[in-house]
Amino acid sequence: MYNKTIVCVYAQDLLCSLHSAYLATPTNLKIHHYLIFLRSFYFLEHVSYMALVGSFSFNSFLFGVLSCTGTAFLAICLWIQVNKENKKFKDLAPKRAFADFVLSNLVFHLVIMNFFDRCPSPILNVVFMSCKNVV
Amino acid sequence: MAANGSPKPEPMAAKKASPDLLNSSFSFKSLKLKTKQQELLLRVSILGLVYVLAFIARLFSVLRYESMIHEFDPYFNYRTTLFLTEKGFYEFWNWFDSESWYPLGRIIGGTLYPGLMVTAALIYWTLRFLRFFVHIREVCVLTAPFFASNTTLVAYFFGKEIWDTGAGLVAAALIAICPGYISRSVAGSYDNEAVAIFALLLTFYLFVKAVKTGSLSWALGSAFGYFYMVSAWGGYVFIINLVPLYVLVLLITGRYSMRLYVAYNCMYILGMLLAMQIRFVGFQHVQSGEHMAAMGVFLLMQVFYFLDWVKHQLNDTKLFQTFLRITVTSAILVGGIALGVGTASGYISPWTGRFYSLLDPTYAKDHIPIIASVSEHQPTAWSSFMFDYHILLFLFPAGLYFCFKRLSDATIFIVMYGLTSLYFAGVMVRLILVATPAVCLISAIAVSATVKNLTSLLRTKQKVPQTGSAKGVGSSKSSSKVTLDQSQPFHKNGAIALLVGVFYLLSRYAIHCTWVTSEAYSSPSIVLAARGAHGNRIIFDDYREAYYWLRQNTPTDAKVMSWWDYGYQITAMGNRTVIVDNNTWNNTHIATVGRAMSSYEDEAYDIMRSLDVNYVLVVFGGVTGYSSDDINKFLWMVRIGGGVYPVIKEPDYLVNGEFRVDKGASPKMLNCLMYKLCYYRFGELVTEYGKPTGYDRARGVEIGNKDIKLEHLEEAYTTSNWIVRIYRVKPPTNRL
Repeated sequence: MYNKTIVCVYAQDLLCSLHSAYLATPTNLKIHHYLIFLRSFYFLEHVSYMALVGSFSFNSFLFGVLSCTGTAFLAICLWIQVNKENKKFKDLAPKRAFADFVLSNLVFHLVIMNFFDRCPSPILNVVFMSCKNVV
Repeated sequence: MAANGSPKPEPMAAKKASPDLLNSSFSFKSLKLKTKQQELLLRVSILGLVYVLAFIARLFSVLRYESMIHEFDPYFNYRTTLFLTEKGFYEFWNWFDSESWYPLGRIIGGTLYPGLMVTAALIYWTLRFLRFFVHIREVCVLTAPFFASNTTLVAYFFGKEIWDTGAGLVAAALIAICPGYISRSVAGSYDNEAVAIFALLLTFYLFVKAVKTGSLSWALGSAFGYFYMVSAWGGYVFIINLVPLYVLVLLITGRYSMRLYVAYNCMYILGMLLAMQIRFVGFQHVQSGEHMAAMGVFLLMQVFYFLDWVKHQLNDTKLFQTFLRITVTSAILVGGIALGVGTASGYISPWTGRFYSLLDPTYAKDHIPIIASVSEHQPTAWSSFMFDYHILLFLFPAGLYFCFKRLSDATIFIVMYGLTSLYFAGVMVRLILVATPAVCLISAIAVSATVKNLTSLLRTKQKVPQTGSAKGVGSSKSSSKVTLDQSQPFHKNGAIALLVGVFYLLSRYAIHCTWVTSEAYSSPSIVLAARGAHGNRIIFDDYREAYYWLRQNTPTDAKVMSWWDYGYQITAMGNRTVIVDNNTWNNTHIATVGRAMSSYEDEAYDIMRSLDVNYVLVVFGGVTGYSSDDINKFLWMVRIGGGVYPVIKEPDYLVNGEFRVDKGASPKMLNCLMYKLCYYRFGELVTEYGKPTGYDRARGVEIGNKDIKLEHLEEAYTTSNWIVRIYRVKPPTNRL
């Protein structure tokens, strides 16, 4: 009983301070946070789907998982490098950070298209397959 | 001023005297560069010379023999490169080869590392585009020296990152001629390591640069470097384990930073994605136990990042401490459980034998005789270390000392690389190659720092008398300066002596390296050379003679059975189907061949009929004294065959635990197929003056069974020095 109350109080404290600190971040960075949260959610969804149904098409499982991870990570990188509070990255121009982000995303998507197996809609399937063969 | 003034009128007079001197004096003045430009010129010229040196030091065998491919494995690489240039990339990537491992065939497209072949093909196509119509064999032969030169450039940049430009230059010079690297990158050694060491050093350099700058583009570069390494060599497992280990060490020593986060994560994700494009590697990055360390560290980095972010948001340290403890324990628990579940359920495959034998060197000898039989997989002797490294052996600890004096992210990396690679070099001779760049870099730090200290000692000493004479203030100061002056000559002499010593050592190193390259590492292995009685050189070209006989005198669908060492050469040069070759992917098939070689002729004939064998090829060194022949390899055939077929027992072939071929040999040995094929008609031959007939020069004994009759095989061809012997398998006799 005693431990339970301490844990509750502690958790409440933590969440409160986190919440108040979080409210202080500027809006443009909040977009980053939202996107990252979205991707983590999809990642978990994909993994649980695989755990339930079995990894029939390992290619498509990898595609889903790794695309979530990769894009989330690249967004985090951009966020780190653009955030004015990070002293280490002061001399890195935001344009350079964004250019790196774009280039990495390009490479990342070119590579991950190789794992793309199937698409629900047959029309989209044809489109994606032709793109893949071109690449 | 008078002393300064006297030379002045002369050039003026000279100027007025003749216009040619005017021009020359002007050009002289324009040549007088600033110090920075002088330094740049010096650096560029040194690097240029080192680049050329690295290339030409590896050309001994091309000059002595001819431009040909050496050894065994390079022949397979040559054959696949030929296929790639003739048929194109799509055919190459999807190639199924029915000419080896008869009747199984081999999926070449999915079981090789394409980096080397694609690189050579690209160079070939570039040269053709520039209208240099070279043969692909020339490109293959010279790929290794070309990439060795490129490695010296990368070593220079890496040294610059870790220490300074001086260390970079010394590193480039050391690695250009280091025998540990030359052994696998001479001209003609067209093997994966030729390109892999370049890719290894490039990946490490780009990664260290990414950690230093925290820029995403450098990390992207290192991911591409890693991709090149994965495409080139199976040793990429070293990178995918060393980099996470390095990151772990940085995390433990409290050097976590955003730069590290960006660099490692980008390299891991993109590198892993790119690496999974190689069919041979496949999904190993997410399924194999050898790659799990990287994933574990990746997850740990996310935890660290999350903790860092929370710490940044909260300003209350007490709250954060508890949170930290909870998170870390739960993360480790979850990770441990996941790893345990994965390994227990078999989803994460355990370490393969090849890499497990690096951690436990005794494993291969007991369980996997094929890995234990390769001579390059034996533990390294001290003499090999001295032979391959020379002075770098004691410069390495000196360099470690300097690295520890100036610890930074980059020096921690090179220390870890050096220590881990040296451990593995001690386990397996072949891995001296992987340790060479680290040893060269660390030794370069030692040399560069020492020489810098010594020369600065010399230079400051020269300044002291000038200041002493110019100032001359206060008796106490002058007296102290006097004592300083008295000890200075000692310091100066000591510094000069030490500098002379350093230069002497480096010159001995260069002499040793050139000697080693010339004597030990430049033999093509397919062409043997020896000194005749009068000192003239005799060349034994028997291997190629035999393979070309096969190519020209046997039907095109003939199948050749030989021990697996010669498989690649037979398919590449003889252009015939073989039963087993150097890929050694199917142990049972090799054991079947081993069983055939070690059985009596009748049983062996049944096995050969079941495999559709038409020709049998054996290598015999009794006439020339060549010691790497099949009789010396015979016990390995017995062991490998006996590992799968218990009917073959090794003690049957030994007498009191000793392997003999003379009269005292065991009867099974005297009548097995290998013995008969090697010594057929040998009993009539006089090999050495004063010795009886049938004297085996490689074993130094007279053979036991001189009267050999073959029932199911007949001799097809024996080369001029009896090194390669080919036999035809007779079809079964007609039933009467």
